[in-house]
Amino acid sequence: MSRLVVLVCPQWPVVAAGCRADEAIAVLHANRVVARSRAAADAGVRIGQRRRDAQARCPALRLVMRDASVEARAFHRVVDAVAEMVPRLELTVPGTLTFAARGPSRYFGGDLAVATLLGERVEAVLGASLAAIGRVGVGVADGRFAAGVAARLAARAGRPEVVAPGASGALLADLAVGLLADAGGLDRAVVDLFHRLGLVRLGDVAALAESDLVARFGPIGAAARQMAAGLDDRPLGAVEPPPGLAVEQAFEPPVDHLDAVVFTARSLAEQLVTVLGADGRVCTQLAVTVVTEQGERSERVWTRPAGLGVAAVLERIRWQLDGWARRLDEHTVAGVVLLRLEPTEVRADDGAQAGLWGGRSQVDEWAQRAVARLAGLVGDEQVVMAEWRGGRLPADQYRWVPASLGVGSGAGPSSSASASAAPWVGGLPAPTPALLYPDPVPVAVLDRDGRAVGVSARGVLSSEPVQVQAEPITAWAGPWPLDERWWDPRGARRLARFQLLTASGRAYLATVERQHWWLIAEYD
Amino acid sequence: MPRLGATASAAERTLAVHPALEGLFPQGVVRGSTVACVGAAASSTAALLLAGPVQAGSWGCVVGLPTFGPGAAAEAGVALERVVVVREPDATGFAESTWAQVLAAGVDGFDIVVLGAGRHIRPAVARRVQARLQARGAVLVLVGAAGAFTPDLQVTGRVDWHGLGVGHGYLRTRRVALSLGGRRLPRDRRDTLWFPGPSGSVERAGTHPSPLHRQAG
Repeated sequence: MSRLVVLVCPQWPVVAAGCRADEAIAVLHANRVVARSRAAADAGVRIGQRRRDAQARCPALRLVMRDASVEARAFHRVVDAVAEMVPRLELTVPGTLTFAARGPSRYFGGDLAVATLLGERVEAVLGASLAAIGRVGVGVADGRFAAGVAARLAARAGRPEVVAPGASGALLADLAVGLLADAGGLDRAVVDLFHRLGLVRLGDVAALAESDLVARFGPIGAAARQMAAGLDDRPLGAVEPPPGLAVEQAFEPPVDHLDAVVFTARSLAEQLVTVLGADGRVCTQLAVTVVTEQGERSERVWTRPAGLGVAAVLERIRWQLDGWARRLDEHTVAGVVLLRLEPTEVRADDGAQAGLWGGRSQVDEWAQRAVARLAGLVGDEQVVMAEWRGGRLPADQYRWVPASLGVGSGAGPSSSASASAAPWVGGLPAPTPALLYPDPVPVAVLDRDGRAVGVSARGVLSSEPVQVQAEPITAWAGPWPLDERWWDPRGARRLARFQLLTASGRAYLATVERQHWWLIAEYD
Repeated sequence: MPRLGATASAAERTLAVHPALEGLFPQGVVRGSTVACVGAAASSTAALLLAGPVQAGSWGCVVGLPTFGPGAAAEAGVALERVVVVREPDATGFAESTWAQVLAAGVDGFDIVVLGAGRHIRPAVARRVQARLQARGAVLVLVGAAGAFTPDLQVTGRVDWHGLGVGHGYLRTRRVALSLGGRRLPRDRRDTLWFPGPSGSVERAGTHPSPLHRQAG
């Protein structure tokens, strides 16, 4: 569980629109108010209100259309000020900034010191424009959602809110469940349903069993439970990606036109999204690094829980470059020599972005419900999926993982073709037996004289096998010796493998271990 | 209850099949039917039946088949990330009432359910499951004896291995002669597959000349 610092500038679109201290202003998106200044709020303008209602409440209201890139550009003043304090920042939406508390806390002497300093710095940068929205909020807590909520509380209280380690759940327990949608970005319809079902406070959601929430609501239920309990670290199912996914482009000669950089960025972004998409994954957090010929770097981490598609990546690169270029102009004119995109967090793509086609289908939904149902009937560990892990014996090649981990999130077993296509040294060639005996069957394999066939320590047969289980052998091959884990006294195995074909046409995979014959699988 | 009406198109009334099975199921497997795989290569044939729908995006479920080999299924073309296996607890197995619920949940949630033979399923439960199959439009594949179920179709296999000699070689290719019979078929359909063929893939033997290396049969 990571401890995070979150800075929230409430009603950021208002600040970005350039608002005087006592002006009544509202920012609209799709004919609804998304942010309003303090003066407008006093006059009765509410978030989510329709344009006409807002104007009726406050005739002097100035209306501004929302423009995300203006907001992002304006927020860069804040980001730059904070970047002088803290190296690695994470940006979700303009107006919100997140970073890990651990390093800065140590450096500045405690969570509270960081939070106070951060608040002062940012308020100094914003200066007069802040008057229209009140105070910025800084919250420190365990878990992403809890830290965000703490920051909102801090903005209201006018002082930093530091939640003691481990106390996030307690802080959230008494708060309204609606915060899951307002601050956590969960689907509003689901959160409303929680409310109608009598789950009024976050503590009520946290008190439910996760399996119940998953069975009823799917992955979103699990996410809600984690958030309400203050346990969410990253978007559900997201993991740090394996190294080597970063893509970069060096510019020679340096490019001093930003449009040219963004143009190249498009091909990089497409490359990245395609590589991840081929494995059914999507990037939720991306580090974008830009370096100029004078050695200046701009590194930003962009987070988007819904996943970053090509357009979203480009938009963020443009925001970053715009803000940075403006600042650079004051000092120097330098060309960009390197652009680098590195995914720092990926999760299985459940198609949250794909509205048109692709993504999750109805059958996935049904399967997910059925798995929850089956797991309830017979136990979680009895409902499994096969995951390739490699091995020399057929039974070792796959391991069984509970299906409830995999279905729906798509994060489950990835029997990726590349993995299983790679040769496993010492394994038997395809085909693989279709029938694996759960318990090896002890058998007698006899030679022409009716004696048991033995295999010496050097893998030499004592005589030719002609009979297995009183059935004549028509063809056979082996022994293929196997000496596994010889360094481990408990896990060590020494055996020889045979293929036996009987007169009735049945083909077996047999092993000899300590001079005993076993049938372990059948090529059925 | 979602019942597929008469207006449903042919593609909606059938499940996709693996290309190698197109000789036996030219129109795909009709939804709601029960197919029994018996004889030699029953497990492989069941895996091949599972491969078609699962490749096409459906989910499959394997129940009561402790011998299910995921490696062979993957070689037959089954996308294992959409196959859920329900294991019985060791020794005891499911109680009779649990079987009814497990099969009901499987038929409700998955387009294709593979069920192993030798399970104590009462005829009443089997009838209910088959009625549910019709309503839900799923397909039940039985591996081995049909038991209490009444299969609509029955696939019988005979195999002929190639590549293994006396003390040399290894099992490399297999000719599987399948015959499909059933109540609604006027006469049995027959087809021969290379399972696997010389290239390692499953294909119809008719469409492909016999491999060059048929030595050491």
